[in-house]
Parts: sequence; C-alpha cells; structure tokens
Amino acid sequence: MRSVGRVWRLLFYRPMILVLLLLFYAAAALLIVKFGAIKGAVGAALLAAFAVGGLAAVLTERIVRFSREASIIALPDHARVMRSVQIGFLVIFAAAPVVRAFLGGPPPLGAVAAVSVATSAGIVFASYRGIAILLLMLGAQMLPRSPWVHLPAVQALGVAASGLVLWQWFDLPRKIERGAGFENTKLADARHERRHPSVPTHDMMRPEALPGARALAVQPGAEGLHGDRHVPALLAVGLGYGIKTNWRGKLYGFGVALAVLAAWQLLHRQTRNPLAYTCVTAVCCMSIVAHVQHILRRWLGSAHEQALLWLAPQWPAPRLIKRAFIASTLRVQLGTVAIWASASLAAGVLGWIDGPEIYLGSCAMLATSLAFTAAAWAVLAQRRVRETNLPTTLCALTVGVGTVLAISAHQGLNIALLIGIVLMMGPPVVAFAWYTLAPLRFPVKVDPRVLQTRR
Amino acid sequence: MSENAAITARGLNKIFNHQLVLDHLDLTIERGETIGLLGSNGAGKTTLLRSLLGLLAVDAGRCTVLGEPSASLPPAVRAQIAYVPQQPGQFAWLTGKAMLRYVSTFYPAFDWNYAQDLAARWKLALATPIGVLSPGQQQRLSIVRALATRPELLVLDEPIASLDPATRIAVIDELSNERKRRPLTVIFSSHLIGDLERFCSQFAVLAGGKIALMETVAWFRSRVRVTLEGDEWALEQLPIPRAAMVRKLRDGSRTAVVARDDAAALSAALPVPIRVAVDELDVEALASEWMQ
Repeated sequence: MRSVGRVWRLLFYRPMILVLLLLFYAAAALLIVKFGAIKGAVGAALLAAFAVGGLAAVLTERIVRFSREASIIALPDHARVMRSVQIGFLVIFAAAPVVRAFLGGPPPLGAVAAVSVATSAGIVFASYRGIAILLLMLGAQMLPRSPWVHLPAVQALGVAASGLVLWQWFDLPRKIERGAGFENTKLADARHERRHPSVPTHDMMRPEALPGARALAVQPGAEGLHGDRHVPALLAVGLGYGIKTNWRGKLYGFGVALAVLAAWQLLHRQTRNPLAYTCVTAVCCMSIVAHVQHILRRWLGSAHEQALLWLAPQWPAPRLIKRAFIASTLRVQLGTVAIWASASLAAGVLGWIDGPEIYLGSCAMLATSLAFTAAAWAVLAQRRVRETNLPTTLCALTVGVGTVLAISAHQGLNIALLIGIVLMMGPPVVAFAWYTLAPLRFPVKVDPRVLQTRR
Repeated sequence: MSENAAITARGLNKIFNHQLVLDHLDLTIERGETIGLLGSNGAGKTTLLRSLLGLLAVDAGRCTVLGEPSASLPPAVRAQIAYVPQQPGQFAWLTGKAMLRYVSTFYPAFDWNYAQDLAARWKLALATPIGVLSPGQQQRLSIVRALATRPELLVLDEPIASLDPATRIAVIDELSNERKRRPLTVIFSSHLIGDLERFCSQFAVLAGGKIALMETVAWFRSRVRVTLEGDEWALEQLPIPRAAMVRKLRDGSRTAVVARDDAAALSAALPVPIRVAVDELDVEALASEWMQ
C-alpha cells in the first residue's frame, strides 16, 4: 500500500497530470462505447499503452530528480524506496491492462508488446527527448504500413528489448545516486585544479568579437545606442549565448541532409517514400526548438548577470533590449531554416519529393518556429516566470491545432485553412504584442523551481 | 531627509511568499560612511540591498540612491554605483579578462590599469574562464570589477565569505586605501564581524524586517552584556535604564546590553533577590544579541 501511495505522489504531484490521464481514459472509453472504434483485448492494451508511456516518462523524470537530490543530502535507502515505486508503477499501470487482456481471450502477445514497448518508450523519452521524438515519428510513419509488426517474432523481440530497457530502468536510482554524489564533489573549492576545464569559453568573449562595442560605449547614455544592430551581440555575450550562425556548420548539415535523402532515394527507387524527408524536417524542427530554448534558458538562468548589467550606466535602453531579444530568437533560426529550405529545394528539383510533402514540411517548420518563438516571448513578458507555464502550453496547443487544420485543408483556399492560419499566427502575434507592451523584466524574476527543473 | 545622504529608505516593505521580509524599514546612510550590515541568515540583508539599488521592486515605501529614486536611476548615478552580489561566478562563460573588458564597455570611468594591477596583486588568473575559478577567486574578481568602475557608492553583499584570511585582509586594506584616496560610501554586508570592525565606521543590525540598531563601532565597544537572574516577578518589574536591548531567556532570566558605566550603577542599585553578571563581550557577540 505504501508503494502505491508513493507511486500516486510521484506521478500526480501536479493535478494537471491526473486530469490529463482521466481525460485520456474518458476519450478512450467514448471511442470504445460510442463508435466501437477499438475492439478486443489488444485494442484496450493499445489504449493503455499510450497512457502508460506518458506516465513512465513523468515518473522517470521525477525519479531522476529525486535521486539526484537524495544523493546530495546522502539520504539512506532511497534507491530501494524508488525501486519499490517502480515496481508499484509497473504492477498498476503496465501489468493490470496486460492481465485484463489475458483474461479476455487467448494470450495476446501483441498486448504485452504494446504495453511494454510503450513503457520503455516513455522511459527513453524522459532521458533522450530528441532521439525519442525522432523514433516516435519514424514509428508513426512505418508501423501502420508494416505487416511484419504483427509477426509474433517481431512482437517477442519488442518485448525482449523493452525488458532490457526496464532492467536498466530499475537500476537508474542507484546509478544516479552514485553519479550525483560524484558530481557533487565537483562543487568543491578546487574546480580550478581540474586539468581540462569543462566550461566552454564563449566564442564572443574576445573584445574584438564585439564590433562597435567600444564605439557604442563612448556615446553618453543609453539613448546613444538607439537602433544599433550590435545590441543583440552585446546581450548575447552578457547572458552567455551565441547568435552568430555558423554557416560552415550549416553547409555540412545541408550536405548530410542531402546525402541522407539521396541514400534513401537509392534504396526506394521504385516506390515513393518520403520517410527520409520527414526525418530531415523533424531534425530541423528539433534544431529550431533547441536554439530558441537555449536563449530562453540563458535568460532565465542569468538573473545575477542581468542585475549587474542593469546597473551599468551605458547599458542599452529597455526597448532596445526587447528588440534585441526578439531579433535574437529569430536570428538563431535562420541557419536551420536555410538548411531545410535548401534541402527541400534540392530534393524537389531532383524529383525525390512532391508538392504535398514540401507543404507538410513547411507547415511543420512554420508551426515549430511560431510556437516556440511565441512561447519564449510570452515567458519573458510575464512578471514572474513560474514552474507551471500556461502561456507556453497555450501557444503550443493553439499552433498545433492550427497546423492540423492547415494540413488537413491544403487543397484550395477554404474556411478550415483560414482558421488554421489564424490559429497558427495568433499566438506569436499576441505574444509579440504582450512582450512589446509589458514593461521589460530585467533582471528576470524566476521561480527557483524553474531553474531546478531545467538543471 | 538629509541632502548629503547617499542612501535613504522610508517605510520600505517587501513581502516574499506571504512573509514580510522588510517591515516599514527606515534607513539613512550619509555620504562617505562605511556601514557594516549585520543580520541573521534570512533576515533580509540581500533583499534590502537589492531593493535599495532598484533591482527588486518593493511593495511599499521609497528609497533614493545619491539623491535619485532607486526605481529609476539615471545613467549618471548608475555610473557612481558598484555592486558585488553574494553569489560569485557571474559571467562564468567568459574569462576574467573578457569579463572586465565587457563590463568596461558600459562604464566610462572604468580604470583598466587599476583592474590589471589589482588582479596581479591578488594573483587572479585573468586568462582562465570564470566558471572554473574557485569561489574565492571568483569573489576576488567580482570585487576587482566593482572597484575598477571607480564608484562613489560600493554595495558589497557578503563578498568575502569564501576568501582566505590573508585575502580578506588584503581586500579590507584595499577598501581602506580607496577610502583614503577619494570619497567612497560603502555598505558591507557580512557575517565576519571581525573584518567589518577593522573597516566600518558604523554597524546596522537588521532584525525583524527593520534596522533594529545603527551605531558606531565605538558604541559597540563601550557596551557590555548584563545577565539578570532571580525572581520572575521582580525581573518583570525591574527597570533597566538606558539599556539598548533587553531579552528574556528561556529560563526566565534577562540579558541586557548597557554601557559599561551603566552596568556598574545597575549592579549597585539592584534589589537583593536579583543576581547580576556582567560579561565583557567582543563586538561580534554583542551584535549577535540582536540577531537572536
């Protein structure tokens, strides 16, 4: 019972998670009862698999955080407690639907495979988000069209691989506690004694890398910096991020993308298959997210630096800082958009992809850029950045719905397409207006729990 | 409000998570003074300093720095202020030299030669990324950055907590020398009262969200602590004239901080059932009376 209580506390530490889970189950029940969409034990297990995957990701994230903190204060026996939580979770959310599936008829291996693979996918997602998203997209593209998924041997292989992931997962608390304990020793007074400093020096830390910075400084007062194009660079150096596009790196990226598309085309000469192009688009989307999130993280994590800069007499005026932040969030996406556009153009010219695929890719890229840029602006427009960030969720959801509408109504100009475009453009427009009109929060006020989560 | 005040605060209120951290706090610091800000952990020293500098919005009250409202300090006033925050290691991604160069971009009076000289004297590795310096070295670098801007008002929030005794003395000596060379107002928050005693002219004790006491170091040195034990009722009725602070202990006895001369007079005038003990304490022990 104690284990069940712990599972409950760890999983549903935010009521929103419980609400989402209940909503999911309610929607699933509606699908089964009203439309009879999903029938049989395997169908029920498939529905359970979606829920258990999400919960496994949530639980893994919590275990990682708690184990790290337990290690720092040397909490005894914590790894064993976490293991009992893991067992409790598997019994309630993974084993129960499988047992239900077994009771419903002949032993369906598919049900076991669905639940176990989903659980391990959730665990992997919590650790390697980017890779997991890529794998999920690949899976979503390939699995429905792959008859081999229904082969018992393949399903057994899935169960075995998941078993391996789960086995590693059980050892996770102990591993983290050992690792975090070691990590803690790095905080001692002797970091400078390490042979190879792990802190990367900024590529713009040299004063000569700040063109015009000196010239700006000689102008009296912040007003002298009006309209200057160097403010984003000054801000980037002060807060610890880069905005300069590494065009050589982007050229390599373009080469790799083209090579992947060409190799895929060679393998599938007879049948048209846009999977490789989907992957290239997905990687570009993730790159956009990473770039924008990095800037946002640096803004949230540099309140002390911001306080010092705010006191500096020739620090730029608030409106210039706002303009610089907006420009920075857009500038860091340029390189990735250029790679994707060039790869799309090349693939289109060579006849590897068609208009619909390019349209789909454009929608995905645009939606990612709009949603995450709007979320970044909305986060910094708030008086205090809290752990639960409603504007971010709203931005992602609204743009997501708009994108689905725009994709589903791509043939001709119709009302669904218009609504889709409005929903896609709405969040960035609102976030832009909000950030521009709200007073500048500098230094940014951040709930310490936000930084803990991000760390 | 004094015309010569470097800092004034009137009725300052700050609430954090439904907890009153600053409670109608009043404070005046004249130009050229060196104030040691004392207070127990969580008393609100950092909150007070950040509020004074306009880095934290207050819920009520107003404060001015060098004659200007903290909330909207003009560039000319900001050029006169230097702040060393409690957390060392700002700009961890830059080297010490790059950080100083970067900061100098925004300060017209930044003295680069002085910064290099100080860094050399304090054995700072300016070519090393700040993130891999030890906390003590990071704090030294932070003080170099602040002093090199040639400020008129220096706000130091526990800047010597991670420093070794020799460097602490070197920092205090440097600050003292700077004060001799030019007009400098310093607010120095620290728990190392022994170091503050060498440098500060006054101590301000922050307790209960207010400045509970602000007196000269000489005043502290002329005080003793008397402990009064005896009948509870008699202690309740007992007047302790000119006592700076009277505290009731858990066992019912009282401690009071009084002037050395008053302690002798008090001992002579006490009724028989009350016993008195006079403790000659150092400034640190005396100041801690307000923090309990």
